[in-house]
Amino acid sequence: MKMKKILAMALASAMVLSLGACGSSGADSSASGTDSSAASDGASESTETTSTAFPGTAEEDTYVVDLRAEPPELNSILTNDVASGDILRMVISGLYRLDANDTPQPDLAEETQVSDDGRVYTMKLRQDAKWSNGEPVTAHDFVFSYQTICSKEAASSYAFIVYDNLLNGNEVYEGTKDPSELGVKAIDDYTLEVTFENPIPYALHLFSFASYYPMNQKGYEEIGADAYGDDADKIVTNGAYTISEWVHNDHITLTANPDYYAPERCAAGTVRYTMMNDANTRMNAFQGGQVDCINVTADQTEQAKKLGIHTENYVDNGNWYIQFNTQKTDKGLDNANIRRGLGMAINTESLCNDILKDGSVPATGLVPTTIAGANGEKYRDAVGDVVSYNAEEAKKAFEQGLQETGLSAEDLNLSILCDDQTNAQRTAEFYQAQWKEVLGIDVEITPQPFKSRLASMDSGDFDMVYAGWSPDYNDPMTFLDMFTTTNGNNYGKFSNEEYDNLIASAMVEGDAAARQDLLAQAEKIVAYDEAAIYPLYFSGVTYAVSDKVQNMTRTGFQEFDFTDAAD
Amino acid sequence: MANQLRYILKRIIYSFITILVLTSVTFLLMQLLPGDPFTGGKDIPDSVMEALKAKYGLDKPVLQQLVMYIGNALHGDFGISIPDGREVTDIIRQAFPVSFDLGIRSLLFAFIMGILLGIVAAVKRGTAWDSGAMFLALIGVSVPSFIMGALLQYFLALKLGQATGNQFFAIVGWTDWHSKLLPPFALAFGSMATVSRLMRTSMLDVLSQDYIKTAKAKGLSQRQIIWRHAVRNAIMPVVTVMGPLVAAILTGAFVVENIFAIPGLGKYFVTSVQTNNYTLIAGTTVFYGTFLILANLVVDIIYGLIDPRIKLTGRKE
Repeated sequence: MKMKKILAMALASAMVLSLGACGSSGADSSASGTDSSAASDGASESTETTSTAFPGTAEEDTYVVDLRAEPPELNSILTNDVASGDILRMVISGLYRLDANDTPQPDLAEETQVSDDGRVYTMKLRQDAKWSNGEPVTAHDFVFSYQTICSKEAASSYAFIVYDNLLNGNEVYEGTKDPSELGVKAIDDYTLEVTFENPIPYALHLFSFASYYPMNQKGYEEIGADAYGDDADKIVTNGAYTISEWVHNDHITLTANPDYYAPERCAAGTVRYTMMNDANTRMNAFQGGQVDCINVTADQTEQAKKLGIHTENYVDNGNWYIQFNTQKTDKGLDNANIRRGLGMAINTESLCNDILKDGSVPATGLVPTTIAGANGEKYRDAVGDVVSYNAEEAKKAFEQGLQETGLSAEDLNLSILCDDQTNAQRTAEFYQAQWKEVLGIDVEITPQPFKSRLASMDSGDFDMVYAGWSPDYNDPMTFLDMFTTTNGNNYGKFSNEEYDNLIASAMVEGDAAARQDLLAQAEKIVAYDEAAIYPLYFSGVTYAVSDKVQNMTRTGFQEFDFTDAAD
Repeated sequence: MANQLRYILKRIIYSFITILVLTSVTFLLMQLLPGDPFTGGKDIPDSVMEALKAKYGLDKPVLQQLVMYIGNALHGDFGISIPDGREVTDIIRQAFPVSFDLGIRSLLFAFIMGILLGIVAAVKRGTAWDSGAMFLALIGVSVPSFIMGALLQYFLALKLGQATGNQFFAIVGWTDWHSKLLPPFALAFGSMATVSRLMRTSMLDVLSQDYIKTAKAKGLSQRQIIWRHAVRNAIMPVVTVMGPLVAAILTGAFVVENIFAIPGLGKYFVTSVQTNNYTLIAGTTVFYGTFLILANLVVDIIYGLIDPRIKLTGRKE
């Protein structure tokens, strides 16, 4: 009987196929009328009320946004990925929180005193914050968290972001010093003292980062380290929202926490995150009013425009560049002029507008525009441009490099390693065409699956690689220390004494302006003079958002945040 | 009967050995994947890497890991998934029922629809019914499930929903019955086509047999001839392809789950390989492998039940 029903339904569906198509054209034309009002304006916070044909999901006081994939690890001690950070930011209160402009604001730290040498932070904590298991949030929760992350037993892949910074961190991690000697102390229940090894200009930003969140010891031990954060009921939270439901690989639902000390910060009573892996699926679900915010791919931006969907974009902090293998002397890649020529030959304007089409912008240096600099100014604004596209100069530098090395353009036989995804390959093909056009050389493309590409980079089995980097913290250093002689990310084996020294000096420099100056010099060496890598673009994210969503923050450091309603 | 039981027992032992070999080969092959489970574009300090490897037992020699893995697996412990720390058995326990639900619906759909279409096409041979059924089969064979899924989702779920204002077919998810119509249909369409073509050929063959003529001569009604004599004989080849079809539906589930955002096991199966998630690769492979081997065993047993002439004795002694 049941099958007869399905048969009937299948036939019925076949009949309405044509009907559906008719209906769609009608919807299209009515929607395109609002096209102009939905022009993108690049703002990162959607507080506008322009109405489109997409009012959003039906449930009241509920936002449904798409996270694309499951957050893998909600244990703040172990986590190291963006999606998990999106959820943790909502459910955990740390010492500081980021506002809608990525600026750290006091969260649990009511009052902060910094020592003269910039290494010791003494913080008075709020006394009205509570864990979801009823315990008060105290300074001991921070001590427990930092000591745990700095232990090999915890096996946190992000441990270094704590132990590299805190006093005695490395020794405690290696077990040569007792955890009690780590640079974190509870003076009393509500006074926390954090001591860094060196002065850290971005310390407040670190305090807003998941690895620096508190952890309730009782809850952690009751649930057990292995199971902690695996399900909605296996995590203890203290933040603006609580996890009310988690169906793995499907959705995770957060509800405003009635015990939170600042309930006015919550943008909605409920936020549900879906996990739709397929871009077309997301677009269909958005059009069907099943989801309020989705990321839009380069191919979908035109379609979104046509349908009158309101889109916005932001620079997500990522920098994509070409890294050269400086060991390939037979291919001239030990020569700075050849490297710079290759990088400068790529028309990044055209790359962003014609190929990427996702809100990415041409790179003007190694450090993206979004990264904070000294004295409240963005680093990029303060130090100016370091690189740009210039076909003439590229050609000149390349030919000069050939002369210096005695190589001829035909002998180079260069290849570029890239990811095997369609977009990466398409982009690499653009580079290939540019090199042919500007420098007259043929470059082979070697696409590899992500993990293989990493393995090839690690073993030095490449000429040039199209790779990217996203920051670990809001400071230029996270981009600039990558290419020192001993850094594990220096796959091209670049080595320059002056650059190494500048980075080393900046590490211990206490004065913010002087430090920025050192960093700017180092950036010019690594990205332009020596061109160990050549920055191409700062990657962007374009997203569609329904009329319903208010007070949503999407920035480079906060992919999603709904706790800024009171700012 | 005793023979049959002995045969089944033997098959179970063989299945067990097959699974053991499958586990070992998978375990050794996955270690050959380039890279490791931990690196993600950023260099991890050596001491942190050591700690990670120690936690997951990857610091030991591969053979020792394998022996430990099989030992634990026999006790039902398949380890923990590497990036998220969830137990592999937990993941399978949560995700497989969804995939199974989807798979069973697809399988039923493919068989019942396929068989009916095949019968109609054979009985009404040369008529519009025949051409219609075979045209449908042709579409099914040539349109892969990911295209079928995308089309169904766009036209029937999104556009029909927008046009009528009534979301009869859900766009995404796996919750109420509205969401459980299109995905099984998309997944089953190809298999349904295979079954209907097979059924048609087999029916035509049977219908030309002498015993059908005899039945007609005896004055049996058309309905009796078809249902009692023709279908029962013609269905055998279809049962034979059941095993491979279960495999096709299981492996095809990934794309359909992806399109309809269904939280099934398919995604874990595929992404585990991309992320070098060793424990999850091994866990899902062993699980799917075991499932397939069991499915084939069941098909063989059913085969014997439907056609008593086939004796499940294996090799003659």
